[in-house]
Amino acid sequence: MLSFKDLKIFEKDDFPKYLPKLNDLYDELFSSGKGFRSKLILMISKHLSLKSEEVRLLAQTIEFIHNASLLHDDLIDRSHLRRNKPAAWLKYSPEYAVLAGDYLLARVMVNLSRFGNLRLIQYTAEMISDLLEGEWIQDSLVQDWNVNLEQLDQVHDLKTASLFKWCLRAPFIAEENYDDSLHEVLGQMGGLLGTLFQRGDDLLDFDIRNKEGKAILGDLKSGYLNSFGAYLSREFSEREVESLTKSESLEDVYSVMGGKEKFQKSVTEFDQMNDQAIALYEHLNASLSEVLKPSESELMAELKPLAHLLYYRS
Amino acid sequence: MKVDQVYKTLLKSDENFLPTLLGHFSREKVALPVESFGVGTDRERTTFLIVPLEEIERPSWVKIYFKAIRPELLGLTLGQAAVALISLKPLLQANGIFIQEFDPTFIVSSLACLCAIFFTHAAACLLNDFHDHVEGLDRRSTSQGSRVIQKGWSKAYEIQRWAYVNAALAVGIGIYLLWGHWLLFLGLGALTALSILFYSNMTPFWNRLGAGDFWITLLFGPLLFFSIWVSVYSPENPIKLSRLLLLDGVLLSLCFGLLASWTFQVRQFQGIFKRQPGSFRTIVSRLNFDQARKFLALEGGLFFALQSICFYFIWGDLLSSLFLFGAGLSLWGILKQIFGLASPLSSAMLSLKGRALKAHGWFLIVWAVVL
Repeated sequence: MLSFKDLKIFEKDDFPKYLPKLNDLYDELFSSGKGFRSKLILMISKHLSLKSEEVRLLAQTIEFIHNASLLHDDLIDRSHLRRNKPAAWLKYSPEYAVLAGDYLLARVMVNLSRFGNLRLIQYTAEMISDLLEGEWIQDSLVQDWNVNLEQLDQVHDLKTASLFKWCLRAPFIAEENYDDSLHEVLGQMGGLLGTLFQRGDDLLDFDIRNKEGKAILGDLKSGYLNSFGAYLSREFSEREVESLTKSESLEDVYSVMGGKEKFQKSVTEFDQMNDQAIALYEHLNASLSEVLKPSESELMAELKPLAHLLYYRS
Repeated sequence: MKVDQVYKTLLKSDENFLPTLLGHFSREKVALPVESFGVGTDRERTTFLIVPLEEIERPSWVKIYFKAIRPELLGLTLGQAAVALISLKPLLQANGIFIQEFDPTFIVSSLACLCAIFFTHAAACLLNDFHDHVEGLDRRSTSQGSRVIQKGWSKAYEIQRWAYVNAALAVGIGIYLLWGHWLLFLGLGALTALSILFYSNMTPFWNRLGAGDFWITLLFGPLLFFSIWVSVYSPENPIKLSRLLLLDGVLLSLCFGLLASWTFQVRQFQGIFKRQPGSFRTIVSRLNFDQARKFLALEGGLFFALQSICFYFIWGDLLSSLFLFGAGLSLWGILKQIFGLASPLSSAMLSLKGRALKAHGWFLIVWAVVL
C-alpha cells in the first residue's frame, strides 16, 4: 500500500521538459504544501481495495485541483505571499500563473480518464464547478460588510468543503461503491470538515491558535469579512461594523469589541458553537458503521479525530 | 456541546421516527432536527439533537404564537382585507349605490370578518409550519418557515393543535357571520380551502408554469375581496352584488392579488441560491438569478403602475391616481437594491423580503388614504 512518504504528488517527468519555467513553478508550489487533502485520500484508500497507482492518481488529482485554485486565487486576491514565498503570479507573471493553473486542471481530466469511471469524472467536474462558483461568489462579497455567517458558510461549502467531500467520497466512487446512504453521510462529513477547517483558518486571521504565523487581519484588510468576523459583528450597529472594518491591528478590534475580555468571550462562544459541529461530525462518523463493509470499519477510528484537528489545529 | 445533549439518527422506518419528529417522544426533552437525508423517500434518515427542555431558552407562549403566525405577512391578509372593507362604499357609489352610513350590523360584521381572516391566516401559517417540518422542507433549510419547531420553542404536534384551534375559531366566526346563508358559507369555505390546498400541493411542474402565482393572485385578490364584500354587505344575495361590482371589483381585487403574488416572488427570490425542489412555489423557480431580478423589476413596475391606472378607471379621479402613482416610486429603492446585488449571497439580499413587505404595506396605507 502506498504511504504518504512514498507519495510524490509532483515529479518533473509529469510535465513537458521543454517548459522549464512551468516545471520550476510547480516545483516550488508543491514542495511546501502540507498535502493534507492527499493524506486524507491515502487514509481512506488504505481500507479499500484500490491499486497503488489508482490511489496515487486520486491523491495527485486533489492536490492538482487545490493548487490550481491557489494559483488563480493568489492572482485574484493580489496576494503577494504563498506559504511564505512570493506568489507565482509575482515571481513569474500573471499569465504564467493562469496557464499553470489551467494546465493542472487539464491534467486532472487526463488522470481521471485513466480510471474509465464516468461517475468519478462527472463528480470531479461538479466539484471543480462548485469550487469556481464559490471563488466567484466570494469575490463578489469583497467590501460586503453585512454578510452573515450562514451566507459565508454557503460560500465556504462550495469553495472549501467541496474538496473535503471529494476526498472522502472519490475513493469509494473509484472503487465503484455508489451506495447512496454511504455517500450522503460522507458528503455531510466532508461538508463539516470543510466548514470547520475554514472557520479554524479564519480564526488565525485574528491570531487565535496561529501557530502557522498567518498574517494578522489579512482578510479584513483585503475587504473580506471572514466567518469569525461575521460572527463577531452579528449584533454590531452600522457604526461598529464600520469601525471593525477599519481596524489596523488587533488592539483596534478589541476596542470595537469593548475590551480584550469580551473578544476572548466571543472566541469561547465561537468554539462552543463549533464543538457542536465537531460532535455532529463524530456522530455521523459513528453512523458509518451501518454503511461500511466490515473490512472498511477501521476507517472510522482514523476519521474520528479529524474535525477536532482541523478546527483546533492541534 | 453540553454533556446531556446527544445526537440521534433515525430512519423513517424506525418506530421512534414519527414520535421524535412530532415531539411526543418525551415530556422532558426536545428533538431538534439538524440534518435530513433522502427527504421524501422511503430511505429518509434524520439526525436530531436531543436536548433537555430546560436548556432551551423559550420565550413566552404569546411571543411563540406571534412568531409562528408570521406577523410580517399580516399585511397580505388582514391589510388587504381592511382595504377590501374600506373600498366597499366608494365602489358601490361608483356603481350607482349611494350609502350615507353603514348600519351597526355592518360594523360588527366587518370586525367579525377581520377576526375570521386573522384566524385563517394564523391557521394557514401554523399548518404550513407543521406540514413543512414533517415533509422535510423546513428541516433541510436553516431559514425557511418561522423556525419555532426547529429551535425547539414548540413541538410539532403542539403547532398542529394550535393550527386546529385557530381554524376552528375562523370557522366559528364564519358561521356567525353567515348564519343562515349556508350555501354561501360552504362555497366560500370550500373555495378558500381548495385554493390553499392547490397552492400547497402543486407539483414543481405546475409551479414552473406559474400555477402557484395564479393561486396566490386568486386567493389574495378576487376570492378575498369578493368574499368580504358579499359576507359583510349582501350575504342574502351574493350573486346580485357580485354582478354589480363585477368589472370594477375584479379589476381592483386583481391589482391586490398581483401585488401579493409579486411580494411572494420577492420572498422566494431571496432564497434563490439554496433553492430546493418543492420549496419554490412561484414562477421564480424556473428562472436563474439574473433572469429573476429582471423579471421582478419588470413585474413590480407594471403592477404598481397598474394600481394607479385601475384607480383612475374606477373612480376617474386624476389627482388621487397621480398620488398613488407617486407612492409607487418607493419601489425604485427596491429595484435599485435588486440590480445592485453582486451575487445571490450578497448581504443586501437579506433585507429584500422586508422591503417588499414594507412597500406593500405602504401601498395599503396610501390606498386607505385615497379611498
